Amino acid sequence: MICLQKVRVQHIHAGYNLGDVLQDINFTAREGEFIGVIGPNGSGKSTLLHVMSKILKPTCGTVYLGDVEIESMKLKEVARILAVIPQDSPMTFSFTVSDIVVMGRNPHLTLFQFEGKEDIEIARKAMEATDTFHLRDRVITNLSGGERQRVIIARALAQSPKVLLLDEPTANLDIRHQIEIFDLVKRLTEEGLIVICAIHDLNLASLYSDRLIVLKEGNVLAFGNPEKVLTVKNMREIFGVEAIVQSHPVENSPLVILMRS
Amino acid sequence: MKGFKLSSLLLILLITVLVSIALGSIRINVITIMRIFFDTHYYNAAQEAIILKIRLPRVLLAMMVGGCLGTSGCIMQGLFRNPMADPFILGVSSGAGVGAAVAIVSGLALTSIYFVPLLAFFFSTITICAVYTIAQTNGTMSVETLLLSGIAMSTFLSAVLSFLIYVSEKWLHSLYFWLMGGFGTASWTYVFLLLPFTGGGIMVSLLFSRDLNAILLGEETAQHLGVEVDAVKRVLVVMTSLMTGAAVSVSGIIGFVGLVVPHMVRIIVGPDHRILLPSSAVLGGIFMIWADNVARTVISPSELPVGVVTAFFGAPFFIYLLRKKRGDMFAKG
Repeated sequence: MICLQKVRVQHIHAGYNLGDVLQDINFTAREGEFIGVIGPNGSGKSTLLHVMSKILKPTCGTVYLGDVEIESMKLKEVARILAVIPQDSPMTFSFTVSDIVVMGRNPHLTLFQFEGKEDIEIARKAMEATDTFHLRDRVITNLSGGERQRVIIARALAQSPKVLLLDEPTANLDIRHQIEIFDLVKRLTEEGLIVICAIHDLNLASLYSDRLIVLKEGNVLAFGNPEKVLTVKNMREIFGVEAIVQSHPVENSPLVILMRS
Repeated sequence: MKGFKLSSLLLILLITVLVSIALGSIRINVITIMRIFFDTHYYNAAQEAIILKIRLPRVLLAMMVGGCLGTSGCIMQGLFRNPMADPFILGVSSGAGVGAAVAIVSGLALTSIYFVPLLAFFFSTITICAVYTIAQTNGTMSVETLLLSGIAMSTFLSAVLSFLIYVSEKWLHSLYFWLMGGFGTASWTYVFLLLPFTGGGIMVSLLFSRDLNAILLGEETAQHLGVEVDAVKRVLVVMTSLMTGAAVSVSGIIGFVGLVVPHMVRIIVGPDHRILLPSSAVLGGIFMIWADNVARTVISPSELPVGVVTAFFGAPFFIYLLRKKRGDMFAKG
């Protein structure tokens, strides 16, 4: 796999109709890095992911994929490098699992082109990596939440991305599926994939992230490895909660234990 | 497998065309028809006139109108991700209705037969331009505002149409007959007028079929898959409107075909637009030809408006589908 060396977010200000949500966001993610984005509701996590995937145009600032500004790229060119996994994907149409996964090849095909053998092969590998190959002929609307999210990840992998953006990918899943999906994504970073993932669950964020970005009211309050970011003081300042932070007995990552207020 | 289903539909269409040419007050069997087409030694002036000048253009026109409405309905349902969408949802038909009414009530229709289709097409195009402009907010076009401005425009134009019907007096019958749709005025000129819209429309829609599949997963997801959703939406809205407007101009407002046909096809071939779109075009053609066959034979030598026939058979069938499928109109059978 040819990797992208870095993704750079520079001086991003962005928002919707009511003014900027994000205020001067700067960071760089490097090859093979898993970056967790944490912060309270409305802190701008989703907005950041929207800007990075070219869904939302920033009011100023630039996102670089490698050395190229996304502003100068077509959506199709972006989609060949960067895939997005949303929190939940409502499915009302009865496509089969393989239909959905093969759609991930869309950005690699021209207007007149049909999927070729190579595309089918890539889709098959994506399904095998996400343990969804046995579901390939099932209709997507009949799958459980966990199965469906794995299919969505398979579709993202079929895009052959270098960067994966995830927006609370396991918010609706039970704990086993949460671990499965994060394990899978973490494995992919070992092959050089850059992962940027908004996570609500601080302990999951701590377990899997190489570095954490903390957003609050559109500003980066802290950026660094979990030990540096997940502190008692930060819990109080960022989330307004009292917590004890210990060390994970096995993984040595910080473990946040919440207190009743 | 999907290719096989589409080929079967095409074969049924071919048989439908042949059988329909044979149908009518003067019976001409299929073998004679084949001889008229292919046997250079066979000659019968009367039969040839009936087949080539009257029945063939009528059947072809019905086929193309059905094809336009089937394709447009399919695109609209995909674009709006809404099973209740049909080709008329953005007010194209109301616009065409007002155009035809203006031509008929003003008396222009008597000076040339082309004023009705011309004004109908003109007004339907103006309507869609208005809806399109109203639906623009901050340079983007959300399907919700598009849908609502379409409904608002339709309602407004229906009021205009009702007014024109009210003051039409001696033209009431011909206006009413036009509004309910029919192929009684079919001619080769109409066939050639509609041909580029049908052919072009179906071709362009096929180019965007993979994008439409992605849009079914949600607009944001489609963008993540590299689809320029806004541009695709604009092209498809304009194209289906031209297609529908052209079809309505030569045939009147024929309801239900554009709504029901895509649902029938979805049950047969599934939700993939690459196969769903061409199949909707073909089945739309088949459905419309048969509706017209009923319309022109059932009270022969007089004829029913074809819109009455499509609604008469289409509505109960649609209710049957609703009952069978419950809330899940997009599911495969």
